[in-house]
Amino acid sequence: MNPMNRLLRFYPALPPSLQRLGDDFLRQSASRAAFGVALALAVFAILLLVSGHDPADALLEAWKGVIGSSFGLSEVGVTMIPLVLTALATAIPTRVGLVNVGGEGQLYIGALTATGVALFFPTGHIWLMLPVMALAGCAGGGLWAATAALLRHWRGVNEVISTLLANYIAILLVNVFVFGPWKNPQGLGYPYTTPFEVAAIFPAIAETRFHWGFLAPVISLFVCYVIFNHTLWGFKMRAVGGNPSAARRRGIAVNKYVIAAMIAGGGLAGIAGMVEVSGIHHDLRPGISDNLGYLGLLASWLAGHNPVVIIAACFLIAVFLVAGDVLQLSVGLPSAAGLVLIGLALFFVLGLRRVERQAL
Amino acid sequence: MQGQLLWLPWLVVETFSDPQNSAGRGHFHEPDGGAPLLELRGITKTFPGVVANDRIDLVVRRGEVHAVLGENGSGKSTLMKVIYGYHAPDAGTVSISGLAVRPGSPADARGLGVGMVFQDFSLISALSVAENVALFLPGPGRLLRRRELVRRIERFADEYGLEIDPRRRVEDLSLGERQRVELIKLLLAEAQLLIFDEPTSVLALHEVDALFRVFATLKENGYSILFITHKVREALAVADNVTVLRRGRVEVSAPRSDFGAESLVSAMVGADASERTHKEDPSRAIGETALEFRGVSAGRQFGYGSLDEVSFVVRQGEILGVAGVAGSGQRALGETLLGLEPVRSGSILLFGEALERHTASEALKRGVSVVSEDPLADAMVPEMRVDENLLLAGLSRGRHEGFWLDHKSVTGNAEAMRAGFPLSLAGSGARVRRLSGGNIQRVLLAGELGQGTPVLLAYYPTRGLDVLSAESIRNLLLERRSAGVATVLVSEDLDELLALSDRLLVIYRGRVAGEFAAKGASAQEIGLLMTGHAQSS
Repeated sequence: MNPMNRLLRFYPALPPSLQRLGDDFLRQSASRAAFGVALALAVFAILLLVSGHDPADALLEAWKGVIGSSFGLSEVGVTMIPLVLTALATAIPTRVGLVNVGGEGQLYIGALTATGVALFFPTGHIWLMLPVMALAGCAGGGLWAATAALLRHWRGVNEVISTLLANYIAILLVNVFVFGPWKNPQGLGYPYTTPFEVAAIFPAIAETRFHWGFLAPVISLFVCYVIFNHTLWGFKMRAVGGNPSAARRRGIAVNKYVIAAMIAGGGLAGIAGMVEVSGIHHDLRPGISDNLGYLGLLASWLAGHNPVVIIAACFLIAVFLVAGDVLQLSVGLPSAAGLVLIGLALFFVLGLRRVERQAL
Repeated sequence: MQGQLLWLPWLVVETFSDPQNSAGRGHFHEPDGGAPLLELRGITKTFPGVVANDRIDLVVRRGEVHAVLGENGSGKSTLMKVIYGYHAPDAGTVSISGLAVRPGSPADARGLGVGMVFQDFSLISALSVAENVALFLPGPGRLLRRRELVRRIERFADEYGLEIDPRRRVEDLSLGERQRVELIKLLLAEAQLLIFDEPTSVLALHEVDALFRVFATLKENGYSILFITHKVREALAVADNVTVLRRGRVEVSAPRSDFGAESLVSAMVGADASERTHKEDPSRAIGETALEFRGVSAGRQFGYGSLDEVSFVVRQGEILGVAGVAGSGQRALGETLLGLEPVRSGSILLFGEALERHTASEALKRGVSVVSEDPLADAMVPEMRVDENLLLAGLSRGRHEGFWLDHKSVTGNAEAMRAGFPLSLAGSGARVRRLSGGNIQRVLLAGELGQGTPVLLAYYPTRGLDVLSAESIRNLLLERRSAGVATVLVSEDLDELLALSDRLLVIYRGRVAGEFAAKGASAQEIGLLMTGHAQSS
């Protein structure tokens, strides 16, 4: 039995009027999501209480530090930039029925190829450098994802496994370069590349870490929204994802759509990598992504793979992540607190969705 | 025996004060011999739009092999599921050894000694034979005494000629061997009545003979066997008594010796063949050849459901009916036409020109529509709305091309399809997943027939529809015929085929067994060809 259903076993005991109210409430996906997040916060508060902290105090601190401060808000924005891109990297393949768990690796490869452009083809022109780097990142991530799509097409390899395993290869491949040929000779032995030229860096906005790279997720979201909802491509992608056998009988080139969607997803994750090295680190180093690929996957699932809802899901995840950092400093919680919150939110939001499907 | 006693509280003990209460039905005949083990009285089971079983009486005695014979859709499988307790009948009773089975309870049926060998086996392939048997057996503790179990399996296997090694893994076994494992499971669980659902469909010829020898041994040892089949030959070979089902009713039930192949076939396909009205339209003109299969072989060589040197033509303004028992290659016709099944040899021609690329989009572009046999699996996207599925039906036909998807054109397309379709359709915004089978069939038909294509391949077009809707679909097919559409009609319903078709193609094991003008065709001859009993001259 679904754990959420188990939790809601008391439900039939409620008076019918309350049940109806609850049904209506749960049917609205927005209120369902809000309810799920509220439940997650409630459980988190209990965890805080058990670990000897004052939940009201901690949540107030988190609120003040994240939503109530311009620094906190800018950090939320900084986290959202790559997150939206990696979320789309999951959402697009999902349209055709593929599960891309490889956002993390595609991000690393995108960072690698973009760095290659920044290091070896410096031109000094920002309007030339940034688009070319973005293209390189996109190509890198896309090709990396294409291997999984082609393996699936030719050999029937499950893309969940291949994309997941490729993540480890990608991270190690970046290490090969930053510990080896690309290591900065003046870097005191640290595994960093030479810092990028100024023209290869997204300018920061208003003296924060928030940078002009935010245009990448904004444009990507817009393009995805239009393609998904207003083009025949998007329609056919949905048909392929919904029933590949029927799509084939309708003359849709199923394999082309499957491969293209995977490449598009990988490309966006690759752009996320480019944005991170160009906007945040200004060089390539190990650990440029703190699970951004996997968190994007969570955001996409949280949002039901809907590009508009992805904005909200990424915002939520970014807030929780930054809140985790704030709580570490102010209340002395471990930094994993943010991840615990994300996990709880995912559990409740997806759980309620299942409940709605089965029970209502 | 203790296992059976445990079920006693669940049983409704019921005795029949009047066992002859159905004697009024003329065909019914009670076989002589042992005491009745299984007794069905007045079983009626309806599904939305279909009466699957209509007042069925059936008696199986101890030590009897009883064949239930019928075409696909005659209600055999539903009846077996009623006996096994899967379906609760709407009316009527099932009793075993005089005890009534609580409706809808497989546990009851099993407790009373009913065992069923399913078409698709319920074995776990990663486990050994003995382990699979252990999983099935009831019994306290479920302690696996492997050695004892292996010994018992070997004893049973020896006794009944079921050659099997209990230590082998199921994944390494052939389908015939798996069937034996299923049977051993049931024997060890002390089943008295063994139901076989189309057991020979997965077997090679020599395995069929072996199975029938097993039947004989089981019979000698007092087991009763209920054997479901659509193959006349097999019923004649092993049964003591034969019950023929047709359209959910018992057509006839009698000892084997009362029948010959011809009389069984005519009972299966219906004796009233001469009364069928063939609907003629003298004004229509038969045009040029629209679709031609020229010596097409496709699918696995000698495999189930493949095509073997199939040739036929359909001209404009003509309906070609395709008759055959299920799995004779009907599905492969559509699969090859749409390029989903590669053609090994031969060619398919549309209006005299061969298909070159053998893709779905090529066939669709050149004017083919296919009413699929399984709409949810093959034609629809269940998560999409009705109007979106209707748009999907029109893809790759030169319309709805381009880049943008205009939502107004989605609704407009759906309205046009609605207007040109004689039956009412579910609301445009409804998700197909939520519709009933009949409503899904309507959406499928509206989408395919609404394309106005010159070539139509229709699988079971009236399936799932109520009587009136089915009639209006038949009329629509005739209208299209008169308007010059070339139609290939695949149906299980011989009456429908004879009423609508101009010519009939009978296929058997992927080969064309015969071709007739439908007018004046003999249902009996067609039935014999369908079941592989005769070759057309």
